[in-house]
Amino acid sequence: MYEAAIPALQAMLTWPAPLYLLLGTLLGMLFGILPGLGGPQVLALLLPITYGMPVNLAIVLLVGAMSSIAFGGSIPAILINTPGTGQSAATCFDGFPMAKQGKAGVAIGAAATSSCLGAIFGAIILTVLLPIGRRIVLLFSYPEFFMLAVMGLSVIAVVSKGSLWKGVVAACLGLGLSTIGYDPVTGSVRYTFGTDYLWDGIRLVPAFIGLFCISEALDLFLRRGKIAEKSYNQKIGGVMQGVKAVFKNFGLFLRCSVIGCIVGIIPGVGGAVTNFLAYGHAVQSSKNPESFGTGDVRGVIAPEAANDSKDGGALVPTLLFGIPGSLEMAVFLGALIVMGLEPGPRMMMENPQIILVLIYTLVLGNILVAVLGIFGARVLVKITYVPVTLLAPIIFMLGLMGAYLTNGMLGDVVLSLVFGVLAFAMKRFGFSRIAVVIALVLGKLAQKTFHQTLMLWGIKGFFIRPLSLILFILTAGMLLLPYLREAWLRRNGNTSQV
Amino acid sequence: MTHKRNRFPRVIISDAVVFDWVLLIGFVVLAVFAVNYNARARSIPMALGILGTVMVSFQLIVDMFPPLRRKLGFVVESGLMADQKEESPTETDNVNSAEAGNYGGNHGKGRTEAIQEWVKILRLIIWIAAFIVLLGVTHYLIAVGLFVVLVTRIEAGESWIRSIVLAVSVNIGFFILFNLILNAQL
Repeated sequence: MYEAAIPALQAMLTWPAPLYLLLGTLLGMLFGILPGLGGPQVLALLLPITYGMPVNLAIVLLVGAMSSIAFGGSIPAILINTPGTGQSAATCFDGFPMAKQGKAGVAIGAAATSSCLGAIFGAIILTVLLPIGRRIVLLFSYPEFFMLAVMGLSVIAVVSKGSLWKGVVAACLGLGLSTIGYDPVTGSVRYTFGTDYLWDGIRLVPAFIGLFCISEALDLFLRRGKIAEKSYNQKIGGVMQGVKAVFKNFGLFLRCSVIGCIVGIIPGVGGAVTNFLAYGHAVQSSKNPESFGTGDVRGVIAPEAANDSKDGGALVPTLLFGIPGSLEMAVFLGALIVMGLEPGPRMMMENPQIILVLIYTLVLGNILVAVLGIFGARVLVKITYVPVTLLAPIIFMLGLMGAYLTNGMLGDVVLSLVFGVLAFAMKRFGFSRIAVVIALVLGKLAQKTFHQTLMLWGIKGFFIRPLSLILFILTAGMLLLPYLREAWLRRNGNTSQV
Repeated sequence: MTHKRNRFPRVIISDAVVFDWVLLIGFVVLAVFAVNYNARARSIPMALGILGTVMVSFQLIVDMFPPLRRKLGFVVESGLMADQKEESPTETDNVNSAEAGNYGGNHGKGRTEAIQEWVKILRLIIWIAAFIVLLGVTHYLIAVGLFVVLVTRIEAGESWIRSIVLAVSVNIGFFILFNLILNAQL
């Protein structure tokens, strides 16, 4: 893989790649700043635009956008106490008190440096793990890939914030939807109900647009008012002081970056958990925990480091196994498939340059967003004062026209609307959308490997191979874990009462 | 009376229950139509259809009869990252919530408010459907312009001037992006 390092760097720096990086970073930052919108939305909107684009440029645009979301979300978290994304929520705890004390520049400087260095740390871990992981992946055959797909879905259901039962229902729904259309293994055409449009199955681009953009626009429309009611009119100074603070607390930064990487690797956990874990660690490991929440710069450094290092971690299962580490990664995985790439060992062997372009973009995108954030924070935060009633029609149009742009088919627009309403209802009633997305992306792989295993080994094929058996046991164990934990807690509670 | 109410819990018909029914029908269709395909092609969708039907049925029972949550605890079991108290309300909480008129599933909205919100959503869906029809018969810039003006004016309640300015801006932006930069044949 490393022999492609120089050609990948050349591809990265050749015009118009830097322009796409800038555009992607700006768009990602914009979506990061706007509460309610984030990585999945910007990726879903950019997907149709990348259609037909050279793969390198498409990767630069998408990863550029993805890399700037986290820090983009931290800007309103620090300045107006409104996190742009869930992964910036913990930054509010100390970032906003610092802004109130007139230290907004220090907080933004610390956040920019910490997130930028965190991303670099994550990229290093990714670069080191990918070649090692490739050897492990080569041990995998059809049953292992099937078990891995099932395990990926189970993890998401188990670690989800809401009901475990609803998580599994959502995964079944996503898998069910992925059975629509022509089945390459059996040659059957299923659930098309006489519609030619459905022969190709559920198209990922319009489905993602519906799941993320249309549903969010519907939600925004109901919310009304302005996105953020507070405003910030003070000067932003003392940025260098914030930069220095990261180096003064380098141990904390490193520990939180490791936390971010580890959490990123676990599929489905995502940034919202990462930043609280890192913040919690910062408080627990501090000699003066009482200063947290009152404007302690360490309360900004810790979550920001974890937020950005988790992207490198989340790319490990995404690229190695084709199992997305987070919601953004699920959409990104779909984008790779739409581009004709197959994440997994084959991609690393056949397209090492693309993987390296991705890693470079992750690093450069974070450096760029840090610079843009430091100089443009005060102006950028004003975007949040736009009334949502003006923003929602634009998102509707961007989403629907994006769906139409892909193939020029009205069926794609209808599909976006259907998925938009479905996702809106799912969000409202606590059904996991990430499970549907991942099931849609992994559904075909799961079906294909299931049939291939049956053809080669029969049903016993899933259990006679050690790795497959281990994955099966792990999956079953994971699904039972919340119930076992509940039973254990109840038993313990009863014992203590006695 | 109290004794009777405990034995036969009140049926709750909320938007969450309606959504459960939609899901249930979807899974039943998945299972039933699978019969038409060959043995290999139907195995996965049929299994998913049956599993989904069973699981959504339990969910439906719990949503229609909240007091049964305690007996069917496995249905309301939370994921590992959830706040147990928040995600698994007690029997009393649910009965009180239902009696207080909170029929909107987990989000705790009143029935009237939930209906009003769904009416708004329905109106937006109709607007989007009209946009799709218009997109099929006219140039996309006309469809986009009309959608933005009318939705911003009628649904969002913004002034005509603001709506028109927004529509013109969106049209200019789309023309630059789709026609000039992406050279799309729309």
